[in-house]
Amino acid sequence: MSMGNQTHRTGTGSAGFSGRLKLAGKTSWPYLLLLPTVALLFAFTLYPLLQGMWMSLFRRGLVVVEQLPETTPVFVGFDNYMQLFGDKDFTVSLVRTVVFVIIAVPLQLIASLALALLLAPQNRFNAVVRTIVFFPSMISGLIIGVIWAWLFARNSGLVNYGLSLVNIPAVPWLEQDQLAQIAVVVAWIWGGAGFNMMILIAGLTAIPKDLYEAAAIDGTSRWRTFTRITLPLLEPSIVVVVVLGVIGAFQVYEIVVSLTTGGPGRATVFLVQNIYETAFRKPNQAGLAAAQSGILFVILMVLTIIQLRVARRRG
Amino acid sequence: MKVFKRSALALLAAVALAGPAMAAELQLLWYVDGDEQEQKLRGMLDEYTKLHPETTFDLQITPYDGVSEKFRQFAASGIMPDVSLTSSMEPVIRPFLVDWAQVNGPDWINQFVKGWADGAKLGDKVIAAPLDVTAVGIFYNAEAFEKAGVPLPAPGVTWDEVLPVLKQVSEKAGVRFPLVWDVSAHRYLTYQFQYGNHIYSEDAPIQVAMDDASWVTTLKHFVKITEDYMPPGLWSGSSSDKPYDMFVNQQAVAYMSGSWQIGSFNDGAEFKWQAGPTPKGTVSSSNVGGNYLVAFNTSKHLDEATSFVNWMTSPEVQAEYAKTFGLLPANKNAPAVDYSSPDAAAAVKGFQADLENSPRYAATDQAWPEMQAGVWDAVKASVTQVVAGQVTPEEAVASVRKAAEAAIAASQ
Amino acid sequence: MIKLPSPGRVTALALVLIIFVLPPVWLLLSALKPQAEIFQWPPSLFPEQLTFEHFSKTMSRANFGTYFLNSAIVSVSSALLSVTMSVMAGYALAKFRFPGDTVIFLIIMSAVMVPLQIVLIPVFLVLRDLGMLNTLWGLIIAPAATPTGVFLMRQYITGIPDSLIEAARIDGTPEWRILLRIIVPLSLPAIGTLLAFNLVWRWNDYLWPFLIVNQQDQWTVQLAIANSIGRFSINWPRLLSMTVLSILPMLVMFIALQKTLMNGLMSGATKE
Repeated sequence: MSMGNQTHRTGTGSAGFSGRLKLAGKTSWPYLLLLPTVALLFAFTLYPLLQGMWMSLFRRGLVVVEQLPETTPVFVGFDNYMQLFGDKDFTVSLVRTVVFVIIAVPLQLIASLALALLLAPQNRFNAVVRTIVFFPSMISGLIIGVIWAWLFARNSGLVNYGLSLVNIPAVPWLEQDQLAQIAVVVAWIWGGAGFNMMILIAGLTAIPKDLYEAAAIDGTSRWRTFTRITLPLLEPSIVVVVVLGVIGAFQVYEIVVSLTTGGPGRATVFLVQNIYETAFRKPNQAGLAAAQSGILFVILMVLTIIQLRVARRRG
Repeated sequence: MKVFKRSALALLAAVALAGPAMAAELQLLWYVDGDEQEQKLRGMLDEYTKLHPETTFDLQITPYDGVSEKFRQFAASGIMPDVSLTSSMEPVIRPFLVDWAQVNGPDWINQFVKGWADGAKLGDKVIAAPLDVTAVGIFYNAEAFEKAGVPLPAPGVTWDEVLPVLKQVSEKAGVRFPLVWDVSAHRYLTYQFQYGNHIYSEDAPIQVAMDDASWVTTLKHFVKITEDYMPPGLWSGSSSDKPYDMFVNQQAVAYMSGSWQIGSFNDGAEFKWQAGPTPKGTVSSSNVGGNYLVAFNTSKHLDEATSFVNWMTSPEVQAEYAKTFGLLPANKNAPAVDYSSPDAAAAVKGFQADLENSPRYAATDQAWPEMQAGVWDAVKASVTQVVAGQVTPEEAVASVRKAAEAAIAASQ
Repeated sequence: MIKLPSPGRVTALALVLIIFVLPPVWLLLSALKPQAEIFQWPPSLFPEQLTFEHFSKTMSRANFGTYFLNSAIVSVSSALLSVTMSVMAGYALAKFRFPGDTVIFLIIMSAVMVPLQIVLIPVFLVLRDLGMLNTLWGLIIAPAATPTGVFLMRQYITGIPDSLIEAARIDGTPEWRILLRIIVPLSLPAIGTLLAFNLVWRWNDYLWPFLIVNQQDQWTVQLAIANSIGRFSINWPRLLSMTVLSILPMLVMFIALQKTLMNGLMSGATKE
């Protein structure tokens, strides 16, 4: 791996998002390599997804039953999308989700990067700490929410009990709008930091040691080494963390349901919960829910393309 | 309609052809509150198999929260079990349910507790068999009252009278909170019922019967109760404090919940408890709930499925079922249930009386199929959003009305 | 990078440990308390009455072993399948230029952009049509293609110098050998990480088993955990003990995998 610096050579800027030098391959080989993934994704995700998008053009029930005329799809074109502009529940939850993404994703990146740098050196002690930090990624979002909800319970939680021992009155961690929103951010970062840390450590491991040795010989400061060597060479991994972080944060749901169930009131109802409630709890609004999913899809697609393009340019 | 005729014909054909019974494995979809319930249920199924050796069971347990998703899958795919337990017959599965008025005649349904039986009716059809009935009501920590030297509330007591007493007991006996209340639309609606408020008309044609001003006053009272007597923030909609566990751990003097708790208190509570009398507002009211059994007309073993359901809902088996699970039988002809403890027996008796003394709307409101179309959620959100200070009581009640009207519009 | 533990480093480590250790330890300690003590007030940090009753009750449940075995079979097979597919697809997207490469990459990524909860019914119909309902095969194959894995491998393999592949080509090495002998060994850190992720994802899957499996003898651990949440009550002793037990295999796997990975890295380093 002595040619590591080559990894960030600017590409020719043509096709492909990575923009890196690509090898002209044998014609069918890359397609063969991609076939299993694409086939399975098509069957179990993309095809159902397309059906969902198609649904957004109709007014209909979630399930169409022949004997129930009210579930029969009625084509309405883009009416569902139009209707969403005036739907307060939707617009509020969308804005709230965007704010969540803007706050939570950078914070999580910083936390994960700090953890990765702290724990990257391969030794036994770090291996143990890494396992502990990765622990939240081993349990489902549902259980993460349950644990934090329990710790932060206003009248029966361990945290408020600890505060009461030093005569601090109980804090409504989950019962006050802003505090509850902060609690969701904290639980979300806690739940995902270990996962990101592992990706970043894998990236750090690939950075050739001789680069650091050379920098040390040149007497380069630690900060300069970090910004000139570590960060640029780590960029492919950082892109993974940010792209997946944005996608995941836009879909924040499980953790919220078990932490605050969307409360207090509706203060922590994010986009996916709103979609879910529209589809499952309201009559014949599956089309409207599908339109919300459609908007979520377009936002994520555009953001992902932008992020990948930015990553390529910077290379 | 066609399907029902067809299934009735199929049923007749099956009965005619049955002759010597053929082996049938019935698929049952069920949800349970714990292992003990599952074991007890399996025991009852084994009993049925002993009586009818040709019928065996494939019990499919699913979380309660997953039942409505399963129903949607059934309707979309045509793959259905033979019999399912459910608390509501959602529109998508209604065309696939056996009509008991055709199987057992139109009068059969009248042997069940009226309010819950009404919920099984869909026009002239009867699409479910009532299995058990629940009532909403209060539980007291009797030991705390003793410790405080305060007598337990007498029948006919009102909320205005009982609340200061609960506070007094909590102070004198050193119990943390006077009252906990299940954070549930169904339990809150009971409080509205007690002040004469309900959502829908008692008789067809369905229409919204809300007196908005009275709803607002009652909602304000309720919010005041949550602030003055309950653990802070309990009704904010995001609290993770658990009313049931607080009561069981003697952190609350009283617990507004329902008859389904009798079994677990009887097995697990380490203090003397008492069910009721539930305080009243301007009227006394409980709220009907429970479970149904439904059979699917797609079943290959339709006659076995219907005879199993008929067995489960027959008077004698109802008594056994109610005793085993600490529940109230749905069948009015069930012989007196011999509950294992006097506390449980007294509790059951009290709750049954509460149901009988409730206004008609305590049964009809939840029986309207429209309630399943988003109204329950609106009812709960109306309280939590007021408690969280996000909407005014007036706006909250208006949103309940809006949801109730939307549900009617959607069903027409 | 930094050899000796500095005061700053020690403080940071202590903080990390407190934040990440407390919640799971609380979970474990609670699972060791008698039912009445779990929600006692004031709470006891350490069990006043240590009990293993919840664990023994959970484990003596008739099908407990079956659930774990099912989960193990499904998650190991599915994770291996998934990692293989991700390495293949990631390599193709990182190192080849071919018509439609960008489009295919975006199509793959688009599969993570709408949550599964929203498309459950169409997914269920596909599973029915492919005959995968009520089979462990369904649980293994249906979730095996992971855009996240493909993306991760693509990003990582991008960092492998092209010259290594070019040199092998000039030597006349067949393409499959280049993948197996150059790309895979050089991607070991990423493959190990992805394998760990996949095992965890599949072990924690709830929606897929919920859709696919009805029979109790095909239940996975997560279905069993979900069933401790009833209509009116949550079986906390069961939920806590099941959760703790369900994490144990993941912990063991993670520790073992880290060790192998470290050894792999060391040997890889000397070979290079």
